[in-house]
Amino acid sequence: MKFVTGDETGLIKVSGVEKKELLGKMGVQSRTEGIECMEWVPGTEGHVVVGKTNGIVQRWDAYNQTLAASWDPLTVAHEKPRSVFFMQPPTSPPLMLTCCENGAVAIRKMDDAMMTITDEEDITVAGPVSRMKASPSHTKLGYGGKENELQLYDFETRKVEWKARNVPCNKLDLRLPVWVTDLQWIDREDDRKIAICTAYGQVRVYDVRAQRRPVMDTKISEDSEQIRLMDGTRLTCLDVHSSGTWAAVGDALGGLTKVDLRTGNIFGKFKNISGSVRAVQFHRTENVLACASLDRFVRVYELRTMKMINQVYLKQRLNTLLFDVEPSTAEPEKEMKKRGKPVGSGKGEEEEEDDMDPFDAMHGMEQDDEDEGSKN
Amino acid sequence: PPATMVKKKVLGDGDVTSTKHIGNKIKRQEVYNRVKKQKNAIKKAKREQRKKDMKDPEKKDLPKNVPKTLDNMREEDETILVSEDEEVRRDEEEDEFRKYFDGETPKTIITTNNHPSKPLIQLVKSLLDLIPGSFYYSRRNYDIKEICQYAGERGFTNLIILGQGLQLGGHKKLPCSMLLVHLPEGPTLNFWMTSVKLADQIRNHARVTKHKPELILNNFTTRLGMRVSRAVSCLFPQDPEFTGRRVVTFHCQRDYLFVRHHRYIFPEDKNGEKARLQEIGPRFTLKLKSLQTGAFDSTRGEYEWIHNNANDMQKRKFYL
Repeated sequence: MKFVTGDETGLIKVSGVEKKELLGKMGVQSRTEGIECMEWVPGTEGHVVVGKTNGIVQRWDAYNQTLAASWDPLTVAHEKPRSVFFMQPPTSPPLMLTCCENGAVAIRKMDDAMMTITDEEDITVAGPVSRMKASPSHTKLGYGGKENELQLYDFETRKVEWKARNVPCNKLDLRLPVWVTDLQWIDREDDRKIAICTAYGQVRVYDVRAQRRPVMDTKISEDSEQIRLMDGTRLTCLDVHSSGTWAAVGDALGGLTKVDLRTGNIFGKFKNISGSVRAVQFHRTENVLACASLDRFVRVYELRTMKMINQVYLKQRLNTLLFDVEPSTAEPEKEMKKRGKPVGSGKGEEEEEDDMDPFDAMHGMEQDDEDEGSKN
Repeated sequence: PPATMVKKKVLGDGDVTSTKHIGNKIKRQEVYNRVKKQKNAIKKAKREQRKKDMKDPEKKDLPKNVPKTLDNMREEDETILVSEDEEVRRDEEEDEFRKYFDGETPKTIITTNNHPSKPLIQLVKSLLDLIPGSFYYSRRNYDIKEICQYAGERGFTNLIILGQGLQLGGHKKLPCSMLLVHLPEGPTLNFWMTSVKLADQIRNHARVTKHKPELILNNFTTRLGMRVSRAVSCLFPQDPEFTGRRVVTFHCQRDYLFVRHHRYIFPEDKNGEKARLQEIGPRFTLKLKSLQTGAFDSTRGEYEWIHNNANDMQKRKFYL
C-alpha cells in the first residue's frame, strides 16, 4: 500500500505503509512552491497533478520521481489554487481545472495524453471558494466557501444550476453562519447527493433533486480536553466511504470522526492524531483509510476496528494526501496475521463481495456488515 | 554437645530461608532474626559494591550499573532530530521565525487577563526585566485577536498574555497560564505556568541589570521541541552582551520547560571550567498545552499539537 503526500514546503513524497519507508521524494523545497492541492491524472498510473502556492501547476510522475509537465502559471494573478482536478465532459476533450479562493477558475482543454494545453478559458464563479470538485457525471462543478453556500455550476449552460439554502435560524432567531470547507459526492455515479463539512462543525448532506436545504445535518462536537469551543470545531476535510453510507471527517483539533450520512449518528473517532487533519482518503479496495495531519504524520487506520495500523513520519507539515489507485497485493493480509489479529471470515467475506460485480449493486449487504463491525 | 544444637549455617546465595517448618515460636523467631541479619549483611555488601562500581571508571558504563531513569527509558520517537537534516533545515529557514533569525529586534508586549491580581502584576514586573524590549499594557478588555492586530501594526513581534487561576494547592490569584503569540503570522503557544517564584522569594538573589542576556535552550529533541524552542528564543535579542554575564535558561525535561535566570562568573582560579551562579529574577515552569499555527484564533484556528490527558498516562513518552 502506498500513498503520495504533498506538503507546505513543496515536497511530494511517496511512502509505503507496511514498512513505513519513503519510496520517493521530489520537488524543490521552498514555501513559495508549497503544494496546495493534488489529484491523480486520469488514465495514467502514478501521475499526479499538483497546484502550488505560487500558482504554478505541475504534473509529476510520482512513482518515477520525474517532472512530466509544468504550466506556469495556471491561475490568474499567481493566486494559490484551492483545487485542481480533471473533467471529462461528454461533449468536449478532457479538461484540467484550477480554482482559486476568489472564484477564478482556469479551464484548460488538454490533449488525450493530458500533457499539453490545446485551449484556454477563464471563468469566474461566486467566491470565496474553499473547495471545488467535478461531479461524477463530469457535467457540473460543485463548490462552496466562507459565507458561500454549496453551489452546482452547470458546465454546459455556464450557469449556477442549484444553490443550497441555509438551515433555519436557531432558537434565538439568529442566522447560522456558513463556511463550507470540503465537499464530496456520496455516490460515485450519481450527481444527486453531496456531503459537505463546514468550519462550524456541521456535516450536511444535500439531495439536489429533493430540496435546497440539507436533508441531513449534524454537528460534531469536539472532545479535546484542552480546547473548549461553543461554536463547533472547524472541520477541514471529508471523504465518503465507497458504500456511500458513512464518511470520515477530519477537523482542526486533530479529530477524525466517523459519521453516518443517513442518520447523522456519530460512530466514533479515529484516535491519536495530535494536529489538524488536512487530508483524508479511503483506500479504494482495502478497508483502510489514511489521514495526513499538521503534526507531520500520516496515519493509516483499519476501518472495521478503527485502530491505527501504522503511522509514517514525514518531517513536514502535510497538506494533501492521495492513496494509491493500484490494487494492493496480498501483503496487508499477511501483516494482519503477523500481528495476531484474526484475518477471519469477516474480512474475507467483504473482500469477496468487493470483487464480485453482482454483489456490488446490493448496497444493503455491505452496509449491514459495516454497521456490525463499527464501534458504537 | 546436645543433639538439639544445630550448627549455625552461614547464609549463601539462593538458600531457602523460610522458617515455616519450625513450630516452636521462640526458636522460629530466633532463626528468623538470624537469617534476616545475614540477608541484610549480604544486601549491604552488594549495595556498597554497586556504589563503588558506579564510581569505578571501568565498570561505570556497564548496563547493570547504570540506573534506569524516566529520561533514559524514554520511548523511541521518530520525530527526534538525530543529526543535521537538510529537509528540516530548509523548512526552518523559511518558517514564521525567519525575520527574527534574519536580524529583526524583538519587541514584546506583555499583558494579562482583566483585573490582574497582585501576584500576577508582580510576575509581570519580573518578566519586564527578564525579557529585554518588553512593554506592559493593561488588558482593558480587548479581545486577543484585536491585540494581535494592533500590536502587529505597531511593530511588536511577540505577545505574552499571562493568566491567573486555580492551581493545585494554590488559589485563584496565582499565575497559571501563559500564551505566547509570535506576532505577524506566527504560531501561538499556550502553556501552563506553575511553580512561580519571584526574585524576592529566592534566597540570595542577585539584582537584574539591563544587559542583553544570553540564552540557553536545553534538551529540545523532537521536531515539536524545536518549534517551541525557536518560538521562545524569538523573545530575546540575537546579540547578547557577554560583559553582562547574564543568562536565561529554558531547560526542557520530560515535557516541562524550566525557566531560570542567572548571573554567572567564571572564577579565575578554576581555569574557566566551572562557573558560579547566582540566581536573579523569576523562576517558573512551563508545560506546553497547545501549539496553534497562525496568529491567535482559538475557534477556527488549526492546531499543530494539542496536549491530550492520555499523554500523561504514558510515562515514558515525551513530546518535546
